[in-house]
Amino acid sequence: MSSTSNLGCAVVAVDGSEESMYALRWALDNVHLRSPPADSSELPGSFVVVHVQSPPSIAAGLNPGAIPFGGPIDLEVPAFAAAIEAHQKRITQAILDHALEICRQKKVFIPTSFVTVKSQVVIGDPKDKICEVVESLNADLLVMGSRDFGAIKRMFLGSVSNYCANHAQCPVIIIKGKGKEEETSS
Amino acid sequence: MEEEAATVAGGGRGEQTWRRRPPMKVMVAIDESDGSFYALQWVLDHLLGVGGIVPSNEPSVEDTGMITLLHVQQPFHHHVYPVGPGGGGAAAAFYGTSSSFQEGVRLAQAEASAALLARAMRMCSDKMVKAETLIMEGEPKDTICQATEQTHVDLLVVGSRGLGKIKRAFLGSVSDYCAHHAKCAVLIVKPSGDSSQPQSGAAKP
Repeated sequence: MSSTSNLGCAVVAVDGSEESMYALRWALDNVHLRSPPADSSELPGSFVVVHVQSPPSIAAGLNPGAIPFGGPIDLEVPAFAAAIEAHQKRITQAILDHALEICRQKKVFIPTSFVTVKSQVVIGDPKDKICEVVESLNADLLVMGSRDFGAIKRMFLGSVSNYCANHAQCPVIIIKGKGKEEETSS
Repeated sequence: MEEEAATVAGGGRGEQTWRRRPPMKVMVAIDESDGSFYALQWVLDHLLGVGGIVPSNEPSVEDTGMITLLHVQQPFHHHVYPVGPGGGGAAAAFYGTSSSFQEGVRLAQAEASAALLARAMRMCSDKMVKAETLIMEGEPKDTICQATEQTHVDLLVVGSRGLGKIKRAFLGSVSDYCAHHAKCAVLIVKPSGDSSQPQSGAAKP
C-alpha cells in the first residue's frame, strides 16, 4: 500500500533565518505530499515556499539615519523609494534562491519527483500575510521555523510562529532549532 | 511499494540512490477532547509514509516508525476542609471514608484513560500503524514536554481547542505551552469547521 497521503499543498514560510531554512529542509525530508499515479487527473502535491517582504515604508523607518534630511516617513523621494525596493528585492531574491537551491538538492532523494515546488513573495506584515497565503492557497499544512530556541532558555516562540499557530486555517508544524549539518551537499 | 515508486520516478538514477530515512518517532498527546482525536486522525491520514511510519503487517520494528500515544492524567487533588470545631466528629467520619473515595476516583480515572487509549489504539491499528501507549500523571503542559524529552521523539502532535485570545491567556493553552517549550518539532492541529477531511482545491465559501 503506497502512502495514502492526501496533502495537496504545503506552505513553508522562509525569512532568511537559518531556522526557517532548516524547517524547509525538514519539510522536504519528512512531509509526503499527494503523488497521484500518472494516469490520474488529480494534481500532484506542491510545496509553496513563501517569503514575506517588509513593505518599503517600514524598511525606511528602521533606518532613520539613512534619511539625510529626516523628512516624513512617507517616501516623497521616488528615487529613494526605488532604491529601497531594489535592495529589498535583492534580499528576497537571495533568500528564495537559497531556498530553491535547497529544494533542488533534496529533490534528488525524493523518490516521487512529481512533487513540484513553487515560490511566492508577498509584501506586508509577516504574521497576517502568511495566514492570508495559507487561506488563499487552501493549504493543508504550514511549516515554519522558530527563532530564539536555545538562545534564550525557556523563552517564548517567535511572535510570528505563535500568531500563525493560532490563526492559520490549517495544521501548523513548528520546527525548532537549526539542525545539524549531517547532510553533505553533493 | 516505495521501491516501485523509486524506479518509476527515478528514471536513470537506479533504485540504490534512494536512501531510506531513519524512522521518525511521533508522539501524539491524547486527552478527552475531540481535538486530540482529530489530531491523531489527521496524523494517521496525512503523515503516513513520513520518515518511515509505514503501515505494514510485518512485525519488524526497525524500519517502521512508531506512534506513541501519551495520555496525561491530572492528579486528583483531594481537599478536605474540616467543617469546624463542632464538626470534629463529622470530620473524623469524613477522613475515614476519604481513602476509599480516593481509591474510587483513581480507579475511575484509570478506566477512563484506558478507554481513551484503547480508542486511540484502534484508530492506529485501523491504519495498520504500530502504536504504543504511555500514561503519565501530572500537570499536562509540563508532563507532555517532559515526556518528549525523555523519549526523544522527533515530532509532538497536539490538538487545539481553538480558544480565543482572552481565554488562551487566562485558561492557559496546553498546545501553546507545548509549542513554546517542547524541544522537538511540534504539530498543532486545529479542528476544521467541517467534519470532512480538508482536500486541496475544495471550494471554501
